[in-house]
Order: sequence, then C-alpha cells, then structure tokens
Amino acid sequence: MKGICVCLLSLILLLVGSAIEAQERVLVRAMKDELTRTMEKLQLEGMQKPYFVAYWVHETRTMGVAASLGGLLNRGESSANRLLSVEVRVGDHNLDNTRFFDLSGGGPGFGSIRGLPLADDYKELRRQIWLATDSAYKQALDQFAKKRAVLQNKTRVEKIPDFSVENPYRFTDERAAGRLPDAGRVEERVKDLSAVFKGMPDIFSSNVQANLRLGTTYYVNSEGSSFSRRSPGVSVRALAGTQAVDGTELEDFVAAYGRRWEDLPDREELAGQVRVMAERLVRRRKAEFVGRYNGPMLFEGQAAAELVNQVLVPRLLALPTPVTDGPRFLSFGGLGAGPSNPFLDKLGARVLPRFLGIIDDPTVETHEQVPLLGGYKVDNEGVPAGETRVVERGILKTLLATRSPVSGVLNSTGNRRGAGPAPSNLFLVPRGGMNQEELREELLALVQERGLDFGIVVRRLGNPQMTLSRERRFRFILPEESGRSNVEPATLAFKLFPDGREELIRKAELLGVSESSFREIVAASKTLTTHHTTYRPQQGFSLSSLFLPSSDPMSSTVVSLVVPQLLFEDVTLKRPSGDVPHLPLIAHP
Amino acid sequence: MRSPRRGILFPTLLVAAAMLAGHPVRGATPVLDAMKEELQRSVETLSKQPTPLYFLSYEITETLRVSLGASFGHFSGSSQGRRRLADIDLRVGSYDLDNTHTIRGRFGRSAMRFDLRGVEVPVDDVQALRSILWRQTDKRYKEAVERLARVKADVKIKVEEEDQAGDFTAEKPEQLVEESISMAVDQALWKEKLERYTAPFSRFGHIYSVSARLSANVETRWYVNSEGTRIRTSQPYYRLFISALTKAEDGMELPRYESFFSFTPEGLPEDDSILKVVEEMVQDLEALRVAPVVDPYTGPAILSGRASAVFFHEILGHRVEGHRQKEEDDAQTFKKMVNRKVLPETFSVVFDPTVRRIESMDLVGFYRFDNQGVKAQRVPVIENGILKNFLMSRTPVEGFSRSNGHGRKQAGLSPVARQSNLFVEVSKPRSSEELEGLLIDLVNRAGKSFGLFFEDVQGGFTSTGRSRPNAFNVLPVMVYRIHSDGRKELVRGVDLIGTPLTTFSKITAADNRLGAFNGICGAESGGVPVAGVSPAVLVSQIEVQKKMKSQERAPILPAPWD
Repeated sequence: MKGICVCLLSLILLLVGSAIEAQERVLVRAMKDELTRTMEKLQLEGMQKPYFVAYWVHETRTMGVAASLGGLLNRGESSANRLLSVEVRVGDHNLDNTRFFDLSGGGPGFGSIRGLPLADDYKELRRQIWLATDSAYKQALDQFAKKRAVLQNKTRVEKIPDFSVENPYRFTDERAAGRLPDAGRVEERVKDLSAVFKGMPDIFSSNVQANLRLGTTYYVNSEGSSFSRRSPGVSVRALAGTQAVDGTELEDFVAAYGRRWEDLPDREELAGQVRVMAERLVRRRKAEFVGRYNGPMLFEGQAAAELVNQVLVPRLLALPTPVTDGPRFLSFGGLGAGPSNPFLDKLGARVLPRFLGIIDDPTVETHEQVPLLGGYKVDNEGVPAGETRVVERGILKTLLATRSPVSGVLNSTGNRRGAGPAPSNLFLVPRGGMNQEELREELLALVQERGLDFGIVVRRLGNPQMTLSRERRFRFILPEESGRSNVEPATLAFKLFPDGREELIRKAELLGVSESSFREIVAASKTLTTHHTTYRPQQGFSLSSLFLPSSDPMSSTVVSLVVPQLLFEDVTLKRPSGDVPHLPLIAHP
Repeated sequence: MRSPRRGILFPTLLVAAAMLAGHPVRGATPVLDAMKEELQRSVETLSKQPTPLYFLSYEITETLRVSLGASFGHFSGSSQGRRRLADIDLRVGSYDLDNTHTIRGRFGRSAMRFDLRGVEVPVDDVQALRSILWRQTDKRYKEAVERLARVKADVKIKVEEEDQAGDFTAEKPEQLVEESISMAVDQALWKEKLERYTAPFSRFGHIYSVSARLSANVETRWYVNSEGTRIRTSQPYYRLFISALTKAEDGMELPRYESFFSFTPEGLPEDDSILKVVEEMVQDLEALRVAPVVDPYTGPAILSGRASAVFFHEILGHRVEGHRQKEEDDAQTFKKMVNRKVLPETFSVVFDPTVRRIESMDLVGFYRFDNQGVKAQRVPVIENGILKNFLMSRTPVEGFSRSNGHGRKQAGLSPVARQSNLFVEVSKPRSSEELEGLLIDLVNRAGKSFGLFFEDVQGGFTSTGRSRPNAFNVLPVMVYRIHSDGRKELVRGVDLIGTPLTTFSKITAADNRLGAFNGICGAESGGVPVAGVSPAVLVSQIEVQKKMKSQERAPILPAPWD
C-alpha cells in the first residue's frame, strides 16, 4: 500500500513539474533526465545503487587585470565556460561513502568534474553528464567499500549521520545574467589606480588587481531540490609595500568588493582611499615600535572585523571529523581545521560575554545602507538561506553547517558555500554598547588600573591573502607552527595616552589571541561597521580540495562582517620578531 | 621530487598567436633602453660593494595568448590574455665560483632547482618597469651575497667536486632587434573550424572524450646584460591539438593524439587534410578497442620516423644536456664517452635551433638567441657514430668552456642546457621495404613469431638521476605486430622501455623517410618548445612492458541515446 502512495505522489509531482519543465532550459532538462535514469538504472551488479545524486553546472566568465605604477602586468579573459560536478552517494544517510579520508583520494575524483559544451545540445549534454555520473558512482562505491573496511575494526562511539535529511526546495533566480564590462575599460581603470603610487619613492613596491566574474549555478538533486542562482562578483585590491627606516618590511592594502563593476566606489573615491593608505604606510616608516605590551586593547573598524575573521570565524564552522585509517593525516596543513575545532565541544557553553551574540544571515541585503555581499537565497546544496543565531547572550547555540552533520548540529543551516561551510553575512551584535568616547574612557580606565603609561588602539590588521609576499600568501598550506601568531600583524595601531594623544606604531605582532580571548571582551561599541573579506571554504579533510578548484570555481567566497569595536582586557603586543633585511643599496630610479 | 622526471613531452601545450598588436615600436626600443639604463645603474653601485656584482642580466618575456576549444562538435570556451615576466640573473663572485654554484646535500643536490622567481613587470610604462627592476635587483643582490658565503663554505667543507669547471662562461656581446610581431586569430572562424573537426567523433557512444584546441601565442623577449648584449625577438606559435579517447572492455584507456604546428596561422593544414586525419583517428580508435593486448616482449622493432625522433629525444637528448655532466647526482651516462663510438658509424645526431622549417613542416625548436643572450648554433653531438659535443648553456663543463646557445627556459625559471631541433642523420639509408625485410630477417633468426612496429607515440619520459634506474619510457599509441610473413596487426597495451647504453648498442639501420614531432619538453627549467626529425630506425632488440591501465570499467549504462 505504501508503495502505491509513493508512486501516486511522484506521478503528481511529475505532472506539476512538467508544466514548468516545458519552459526550462535544455541544460536543466538534460540534468534532470540523466538524474532520473541514474536513480532508476545505474547499478553495478552486486553493488548498492546510489541513494543520492546531485549535479551542479557552473557557468562562468572571468576577467582579471593587474597593473603596477600605471603599467599593465597581466590581463586575462575567458569566455563563458560550463563545468559540471557530480555528487553520488551510496549507502544511506547514516553511513555512506563521504566523510572518509584516505590518501588514495578522499574527495571528488577528477572524473566526476567535466567541462560541458556551451551550446544547448541535449544529446551532447547528456553524454557528458552520463560519463561524469558513471565515474562518480564508481568512485563512491570504492570509497564506501574502503570506509566500511576501516570501520569493521572500530566501534563508533558517536553515531552521527553522514548526510542530513532536508526538505526539497526549489528556487529560480529571476535576475538577468548581466555582462562584464569591456576589458579595455577595466584595464584603464586598474592602470589609473596603480598610478597613484607613481612619484612616491618611499613605497618600494605596489600593485593593483581587479577580478571580475559572472556566474550562474544550476543544481538538481535526486530528492527533488533544484535551483538556479546568479553569483556575480568583482573585487579590486591595491597592495603596497615598503621598508621602514630600520629595514622592517611594511605592507598595507585597500580592497573593494561588489557584485558588479558599477557597484565599486568611483575613480576618485578609490584613488583617494589608495592615496590615504600609501601616505599611512610612508608615515609608519618612521614611527616607533612598542617593545612589549601586555594590557587592554581596543580594536576598531577593520581591525575588529579581521580579528573576528581570522580567529573566531573558523571556529564557527561545523566541519565533521572524517573516518580514516590513521589520524595522522588530519593535521595536514589547513586540513586540520575541522577536526581540531574546540567549538565542536562548546555547544551550550559561553564563548562570548553575555552582551554579545552572533547571527549569520544570508538574506539581509544591506546594513545601514551599506550593501552586504555574502548573501544568497539558497546554498550550494539546495538548502534555503535563513538566519542562524550562532551565539545568543554569549552562549554558543549552533555552528554554521552544511548537510554533513556534526555532533549537536544535525541539520544544515544553509551555509554550504563552495566546498564546505562558510559564513555569509555575519553580525556580531552587542546588547547595549558604548559610544566612541565611553569606549576610550573605559580603555584608559583599564590602563590606569594596570598602572600602564598608555593603552593600545588597533585600527587595521593585515590579511593573509592581501600581501605582495609570495611566502606569506602560501603560508596557509603549511602546518601550523607552535608559537606562531595566529593573527596577522597590526598594520595600523596607536598608543593612546591618558591625555587623549595618539602615537602611531610602526608595526606590531599580536600574541595570545585565541577563540577563548573573545569571552574576555570587556566592552563593545553601539555602532557596527561593515567589512567585506574573502573566505576559502574547505571540506576539512579532502586533499583534492587543495588541488582542485572545488565544485564552485570561485573557491574563495566573499563574506560580509558587521561588527562593533571590541575592547579586550588583556592582549600581548610586541615588536615583530626575526631579522630585518637591509634597506635598498641603490637609490630609487 | 628529488628526481624529477625529465623530458616529459606534453604534446598538448603551447603555441601560437595573438590577437593584439604587441608593441607598436618600430626602430625605437624604449623597453630595451630602460632595461639597459637600470642595469647600468645597478652595475655601477653593486660592483663597488664589498662583495661585488660581476654579471647582471634582465630578460622580459611577454606572452600574448589566445586559446579556443571544442568537444564533440561544440565550442567549449576560449580564453585570452597577456602577461609580462621579468627574470633577473645576478651573479656575485667570479666566473669560476659564484652564488649560483650548487650547494651539495649529503648525496648531491641539496634542494630542488625548480624555483619560479619571475616577477611581473609592465612594459608599456618604462618608469614603472624601472621601479620594479630596481626593487627586484636589490633583493636579488642581497640574496646572492648571502648565498655566495654559503657556497664558499660548502666548497671548503665537502669533498672535492668531480667536475672542476667554473660556474659561468664568458660570452661575447650580441645585438639584435627584431620587429615586434602582431597577429590576429579570427576567433569566429576558428570556433567554427574546431566544431567541425570534433563533430565526427560524436557519432560514437564509446568515444569518451574529445578535444580540439587552437592555441596561439606570440612571445616577445627583451634581453640585456652587463656584457653589452641587447636583444629583442618576437616569435609567434600556432598549434592545433586534437585528442580523443576510448576504453577497451578491460578498462584500458586508448587515446589518439594529433597535433599541428606552424609559425603562421596560414601554415596550419587545410580543413580537408585535418578532417582526413580525424577520420583516421576515429578508425584507429575503433580498431584499438578490439585490438589484442601484447605481453611483455623483447625482440626486434622498427620505430617510425616520428617515434624514433621522440626516442632519440628521450634516450640521447636529455643525456647530452651539458649541465647534467657536472651535477653530482646525475648519472652522467655520456660524460666520459666523448670521442668514443656510441652509435653505428652511419648515424649522426645534430641539434640545430637555426632550422626553421623542414620540407613542409615548421620546427618549433627554432630560435635565434637562447635565454642567456647567446646566439643559436648548430651542434653536431654525434658525428659518424662518435660522441663529439654536448648541448651547452653558460654553465661550463670540464672540456667545454663555452655555451653553444642552448641555455633555455620557460619565463620565470632559471635556464639550463636544453634541446632544440634534433636531427638524426644517416649516411647509408635503406628503403622502407628493405628495413622491413631486415626486421623480418631478425625475427626469423631470433626464432620469434613477430617483431614490433611503433608507428605513433604520444611522448615519453626519462630519468637521468642516480637515485633511481636510469631508464627511459616511450609511450606508444599505435603499435603493430609484424609477422614473419609480413602481415601487420594492430595491438595495444605496451610501453617501450630500456636503458640508454644497451638500447643504443642495438640500433642497426635506418630508412630514407623522415618523420618529425613538435612538442613541449618539460624539465627543471620548465616547458620549452622542441622538435625532432628522424628516419625510421631498426633496433635489433627492444623491450616493452605492460602499460599502466585504468582500473575503471567502461561505463555501466549505455549512452543515453542508445
């Protein structure tokens, strides 16, 4: 009887579906038809059938331009291209082929990602989807067999399902695909912006890069979810570096993000920002160091956002611990982030002071007229976007999750972006809060209490992706060194004296700031400021996520952070350690 | 990674043309002038330092590229771009011992030489260019001073090096300013052509991947050094690459590749001839799927001209690259064999980058100056069977104190001795029929039931280090059994393997029909364009081993339209 009901139901769905499908693109029809055939017929003799199949097709166009001192460094453009990626799961929701890591290839294989023709040729689209599915299915069987073999010798202490059950959801993005601006125009703009550094001999190196992307993702899965989603994005960043009078290397940057080229600040405004940054850098060359400081510290604006981004955000993500035949792989570079996340055991614990909460909300479009860029209507697994209250009154309530559950977070929060979980628009919300004057007074009161001569105000922090140094840029793939600061150096910080006087600091390292430091926040400002940054979502345990462009070609996603100023009671700040290179021997040309 | 696979041929890569005018410079050479000025400024200051600079060169490579692709009759996308990379060679110390000297680990080389250090520079704004060169030169100088100190310590602490040649050769200044070449790829036309070339494959459900790609590059290089050399060259490359793949029932992946190269877009073959090749590819794939698998075998074989050219590139070419004769971890197969017989006396092998074209085929290993500002030269490496010379960059080797214009690299890497156009020349060629007759004689005499004919190869690789067997591997695509009655039978599933000296001693005869390949050769200084030309060669004994085989079955479900 039950069987008949199911049949009737799916018949109705089919009927309802067909009206919509008639207007659907050939591409989506090919995806759906091959999906249906796969679920009905794909089975290797004597092996399990897939219980879940999903297809993503990413249509993208990209453009990139870089210039230095008014001259072009490189320029590249690609026409539209289509990339299919396939997910096949065998087993069941409780135990399937995913969440398994072995060195023979933990993640999606190369075979399950294929280029598709740009033309809407139904037969050729079917051919590629068929071949990719076949490859993904065989890999899934292989992984599942290996995983079960490993589990045979183990008792699973925590029985967490491998895949969450979610309601089917459909979404069609009605927005037009948009266009990229003329490459020549972008080139002129980037060259023009990079020319700001001309005639500034105290800036030793600089460049400006623009990246533009148009993207549409089509998704269908075997549970009846499907979506189309546009995700255009542009960014411009200006990086500058120099050496202080003692040789210390100094860097700073300006970054602007938008959805479309037109969204970026206009020429004058951006050039102004770049000029201010360059002048700041020049002033820092002759500023003083602080030997060592232990005491209260106020993080304002960008520095507060970066601190949250670098220290707190990675802890808010639910990355499941994979099954593996040896835990030794898990500490492999950035792959270790998931399994070692202390917040996995902190659900219900206090992680922030009572007056602070954290909300992630991809559906909010602006904050005080400033557009937020981390938003979307549906996440990468077809889960509708919605508000997630991560921390309430200082208590950790949940983590930002995909459909791969962790203990205590058994359902997706709609935060799958790229290959893994990532925040969208993240709000750190104070209850009450102080105004600017009160915060500074509070800082100075703490300074007095500690018997210090001055307090520290940090306005800007570096960002690991915003650097001219190749070594620093690739540091994320190296294993974490003990003793290395987990926060980028402060690029704009001041001593604040009791009389209100500020004194610029050349460069400073921050030590001992960890997720538990956030519990000790003394005060926050009433007003919030918005900052955009990029985050690279990871699956947490797949080697291939390092080498492959994750299923979404834009593997770094933009996150908008809306945060107050934050006053910490006790942070260590010191002069950067290590030897310092000599100043240039030859004068600037 | 310590023993890089050298000489892997990626027949896919590079080539050809660009859509935008490079730099509209006629006569005037503002980029060279700016480089020269900045170079002089640096030399003046840095040669007066306590550790003086003795050599400095700047090379800027601008690559304009357009690439278009199609699969199964449909356009799959295009990309285009331009990029400028500067490479700086800065030396402190002396020609005899400088900062680039190898610092030895316990067993030889201490660290990987593969360091990508090119810096992006603008060339349309000479002030900007000079600023970046200034900054980078200063950085390099400091690194060089530090490294020279380490080099000097290493030389004192470790055992004496086997090769006592210095670190850098002195060369005479050169001057050449070529016109910048600008070119256009008609993207709409090529999109349509590529679709046409790949359409015939779509009839088949068991051809699993197909790609046709036009890749067009124009590479413009500016080079200046402190010895007075001043060069600008501009070279377009156009390559069309078609590949298709099927699978046998046992899971073996069976590819077919064809590539076409020319220095001009008009030089690529007409549609008719390409479509004919495509039809052959389709038929070959059909035949390969059902062809029998050969078991490991040793015995006589003929290598077609093209296969033989790849074979010589791998087993000989990489072993006569000069710098390998002094690396303490290299096997140095030929180092002590100079003036000794290594091939039959009817065989000569010449490397000649000055040849641009042979018969109707452009040779991609053509260039006028190498990446160290040394003029390209014809180098007879083997004359009448006797080893005479090595391919030399500006790294000297005992007995070879000058470069012969083979210091090559990919933009962003450091140059080493690399191959150019390889020519196998034979003084008493046979006809093809005679060669086949000789093969059958050998088969009969050895009491074998067949010999092998390698008609086409996709590439190969070889290892010249000491830490692993000094072997080569040539990857055939089309192999035939030649039975003693002369019958030809297509087979699959084997790679041609061997060690260099043994295999060389088995080379017996060659015919009078030349075959050739154009490819990209990868080694420690990156991918460089190389070509090879050879007649078909009879080898009295070769060895084949089983090919690596995919364990993945053919697709479970039939094609969706079946």
